[in-house]
Amino acid sequence: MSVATFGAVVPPALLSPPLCAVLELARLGRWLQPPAELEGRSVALTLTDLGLRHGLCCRDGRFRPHGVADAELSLSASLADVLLLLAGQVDADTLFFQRRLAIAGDTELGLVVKNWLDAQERPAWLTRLAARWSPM
Amino acid sequence: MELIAPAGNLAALKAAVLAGADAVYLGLKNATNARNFAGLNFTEADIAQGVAFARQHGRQVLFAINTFAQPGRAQEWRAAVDAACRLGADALILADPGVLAYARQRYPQQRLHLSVQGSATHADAIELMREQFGIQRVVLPRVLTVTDIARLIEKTTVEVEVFGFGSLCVMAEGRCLLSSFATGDSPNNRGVCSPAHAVRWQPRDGQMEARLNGLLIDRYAPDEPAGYPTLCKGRFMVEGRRDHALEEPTSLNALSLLPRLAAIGVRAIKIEGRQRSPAYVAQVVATLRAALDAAQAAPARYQPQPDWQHTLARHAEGSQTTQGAFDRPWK
Repeated sequence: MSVATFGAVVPPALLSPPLCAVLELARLGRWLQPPAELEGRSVALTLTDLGLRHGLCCRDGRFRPHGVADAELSLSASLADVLLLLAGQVDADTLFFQRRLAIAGDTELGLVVKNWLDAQERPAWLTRLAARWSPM
Repeated sequence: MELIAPAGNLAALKAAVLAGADAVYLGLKNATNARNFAGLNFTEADIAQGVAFARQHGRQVLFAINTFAQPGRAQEWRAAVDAACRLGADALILADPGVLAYARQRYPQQRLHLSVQGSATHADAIELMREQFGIQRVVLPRVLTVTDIARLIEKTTVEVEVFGFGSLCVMAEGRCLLSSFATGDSPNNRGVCSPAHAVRWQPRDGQMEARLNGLLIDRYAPDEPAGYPTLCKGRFMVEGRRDHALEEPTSLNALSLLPRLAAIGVRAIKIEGRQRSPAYVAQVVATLRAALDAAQAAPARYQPQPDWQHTLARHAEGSQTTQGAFDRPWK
């Protein structure tokens, strides 16, 4: 089975908990605190190269799994680009211009997510680690 | 020449300072600045930290309060001026004459810059703003050639700042109402030309459609570079042909002109992009810093390095970068 078809046989319901766990760890590590504007909002994230779709929402200031189909915002990018975005190493508009990041659904929510990620100061160890990934 | 960098948040301000900007410009979280986007811009607590950080590094913080006060709501713009002065602004970047008058009367010692949105393109207009409001600097609209700018500098004592890099628009600077035809919002009345609530990107038949308040403004093939979703950059059917009716998405890149701009007396180079991330700010500022240092050290031998051009091209909106109006062959 190729990697890209992996997501076709694994239901999103099984994939969302690990993504939420990563974001929850980041939240507990105090470098990705969700802002009040994200409370009650839902996002679906597609990792295009892996063919995986995750749904998550923000409730009571925490990240939780959420259905993919009824998410208000849909973001799609490769795993490498998502990691670069989470690490603050790449500009979301640059990825969008180059068609490496796709957005559908509630654009204003997309802007809130983007500006929230941009405003977070990452720990120095993460910046050093991320600098070793493909820079762009 | 000074290097003036954009900051949409505290992380971008710090990135700009650490990458070598001489000054950073920012806006409050409201319609008093021309990048009034959801989740962007500074709370007063962020600004206090940002100003302290910049001061520690010997850099300046400029406040963009550069939209036009709306009828009956001038108090919001005056309050923004009050906040900027209270928070320690090194200069205010203003466009509206009423706001300029308020700032000059209330804060006689405050340094004032005339924003690009103020649309002053010749020495008479700039001198009038100096006489009336005591502006110390003008940010020139992106419609003048280097020759125009050189002539203008000879006729005014006001410092001149020009854009060196960033996304371009149709440059009806300060008075663009185009998007308001589709959305009711424009840079002048809301500080935003394509408000996010009105923008939708939808996949259809293998292409991506960009819609503004339901109006189809562009359609992109899978690997075609995309631009910001503004009416001016959309592609429309005109006389049977689908093309950019007004302007192709394009970025300004004045890297090769830096020694000329310095020689004619330009005092500062500005980078566009308060809506961009700290990663953009860090890389573009570092590139312009290296170029400005090289241009200052040996102007006659100055050549833009390929890796500088590569870095800037990577961040450019649209498929090309140009020298904009600086070098119009047809003028």
